Amino acid sequence: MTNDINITVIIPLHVYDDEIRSMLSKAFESVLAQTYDKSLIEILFVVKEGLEEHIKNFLVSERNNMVKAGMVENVSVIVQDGPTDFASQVNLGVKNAKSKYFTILEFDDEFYRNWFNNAAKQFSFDPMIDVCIPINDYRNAESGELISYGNELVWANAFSNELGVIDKECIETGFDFNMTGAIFSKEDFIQIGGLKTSIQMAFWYEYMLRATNIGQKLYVVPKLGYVHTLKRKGSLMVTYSEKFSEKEANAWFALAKQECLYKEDRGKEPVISLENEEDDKDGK
Amino acid sequence: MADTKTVLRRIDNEIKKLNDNSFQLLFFVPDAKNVASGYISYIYYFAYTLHEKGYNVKMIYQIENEYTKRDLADLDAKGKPYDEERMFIGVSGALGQKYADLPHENIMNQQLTVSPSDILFIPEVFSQIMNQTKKLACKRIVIHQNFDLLTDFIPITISWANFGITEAITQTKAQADLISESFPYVKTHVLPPYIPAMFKYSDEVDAPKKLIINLVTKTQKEANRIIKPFYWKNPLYKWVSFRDLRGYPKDVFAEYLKEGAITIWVDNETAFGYSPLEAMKAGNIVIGKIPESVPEWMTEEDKGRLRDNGIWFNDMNHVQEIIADVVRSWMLDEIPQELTDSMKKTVDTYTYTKYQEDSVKLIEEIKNERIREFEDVKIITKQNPVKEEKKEELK
Repeated sequence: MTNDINITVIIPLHVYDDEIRSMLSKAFESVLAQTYDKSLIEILFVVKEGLEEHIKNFLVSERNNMVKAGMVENVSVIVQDGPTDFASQVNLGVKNAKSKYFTILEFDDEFYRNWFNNAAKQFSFDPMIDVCIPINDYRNAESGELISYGNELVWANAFSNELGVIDKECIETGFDFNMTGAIFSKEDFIQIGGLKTSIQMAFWYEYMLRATNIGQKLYVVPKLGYVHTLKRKGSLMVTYSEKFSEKEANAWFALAKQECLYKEDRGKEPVISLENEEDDKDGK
Repeated sequence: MADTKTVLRRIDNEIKKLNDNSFQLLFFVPDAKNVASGYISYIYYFAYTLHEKGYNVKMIYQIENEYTKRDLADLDAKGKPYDEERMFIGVSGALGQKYADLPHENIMNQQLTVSPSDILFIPEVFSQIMNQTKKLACKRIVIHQNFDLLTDFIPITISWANFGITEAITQTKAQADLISESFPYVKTHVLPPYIPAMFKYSDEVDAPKKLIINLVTKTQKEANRIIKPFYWKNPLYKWVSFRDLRGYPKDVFAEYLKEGAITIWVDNETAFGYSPLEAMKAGNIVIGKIPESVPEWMTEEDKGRLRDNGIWFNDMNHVQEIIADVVRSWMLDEIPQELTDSMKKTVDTYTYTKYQEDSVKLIEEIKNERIREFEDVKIITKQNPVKEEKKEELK
């Protein structure tokens, strides 16, 4: 039944300012607003060294909301010393999570209020599911307008071998799945090696290939569960797209496809094709 | 030439058959060829329910030059195909074997043997059967389900009076009223149908639904009219899957309803509307086109407005916007509680338990009326003793 499905919400944070604080408040309150049994939810901030004071103040300002939600005792903060990135913050959060399941909430996103309930129902109904993924609203960072849905394509006839399931062929089409907001089994995540911090840009792609390779069932619950903000200036994906050329991005994905066969992070670097550089020089 | 004593003995025999339920309940049926519309299902469900309650039920049909078992064996031996027109295929694939296993008899080219205590049920489309059987001694009752079918299959200037039909069973009071307006001499009984147990939310409690939209239309053209513009007008929803349920056997139809979340229903000519009720019982939100004859379960008691048990529309050109809204509401768990409560209240009216009680009550009422008629004939016979040379009418 659903009462053994306890969930840790991991909120990674590497920067903080007033704008982020405002976004974080919406994200945080979307957890407090869950219709799910709050005694089964834990919130875990994983913050870059130096941000502890900010989070402490933030939680003080949110105290009344936490009291109303009955979640004062369920919130904690851990600090990541040294260099940090999204993947390593997630891995640290998972290691410290007390629950059987976890999810990741980006500070500029939010959950829909029934998401945890819907995911828990799905886990209870089908014990073969290893990850429950929500359909996302993808919204414009500036206007908040709905741009498209995310993760929805596996519900189209003939896209996937099984309606709703993300299989290896789906991932290899290159379709962009968003895994923040998904609810994972902690044990499975750790067992297959967690996120690989050396793989930039394509770390989720690599993780999903690795998971499907060993037979994990990734199921998109046909319910709206997550609001994902697209193309916010300063966000991880925008940073990557500014940092890497198309060629470099492709190289990371090619590396991910190669590395998904290994549990451990081998720290490989992507190989950028020289032939293409030659073509470029010739203006082709 | 029967004398009074013989006549009275025969009448007593018929009364005895009525009392011990050995009288026959004969249902004239077309060959469904394994396509079970609501129309056919209603007849078979009625017959089977009575059969389960111990009544002597038989299904009768007419097929010209029907194959015998030997004919079929010969064809098999020679590797020749069967001519389906010479076979009664029935409903085994469409409704299930238990309905096909009801006794069936071909009465083509042979006299239908009946007793005065027997009851022959005739669907309204078979006006020629009504005509052929008007001199039979048994009681004949029309099963009426669709006024359009009645008007389609009866010649102009002919009415049920010409066929000696004075009694009918309908599914709703509205249908009964229509019959009374056209044939005021016909006594009507209302027997609302039931929704079979195979139609349910799921096999397990609280099983999550899948986002599949079931489509129940009469034609491919109607299905295309809904689906294609939906994708054109709503590119954000190009991933939404539709499942066309036309032509599936009832058990498969029921499984698909269990799985899906939303059902779109278009049937302009329906008299009752089984499919949307089946969909509601399976927990589907129904988006339905209001038919020409609005089913009674769709309207409030005062018939002034439509019930909130579904999302009803008239204009096929704009249903696509409704579908998109319902999909989004469903994904957000924002389908109004009033709608789901009303759905449950609607389907709870059509339970099998109530149907069984109503069916038995109906047959007992007809039976008791028949016994009274026979008792009256006995009185008349005693008062007017029959001499041996006179012919006797038992009716």
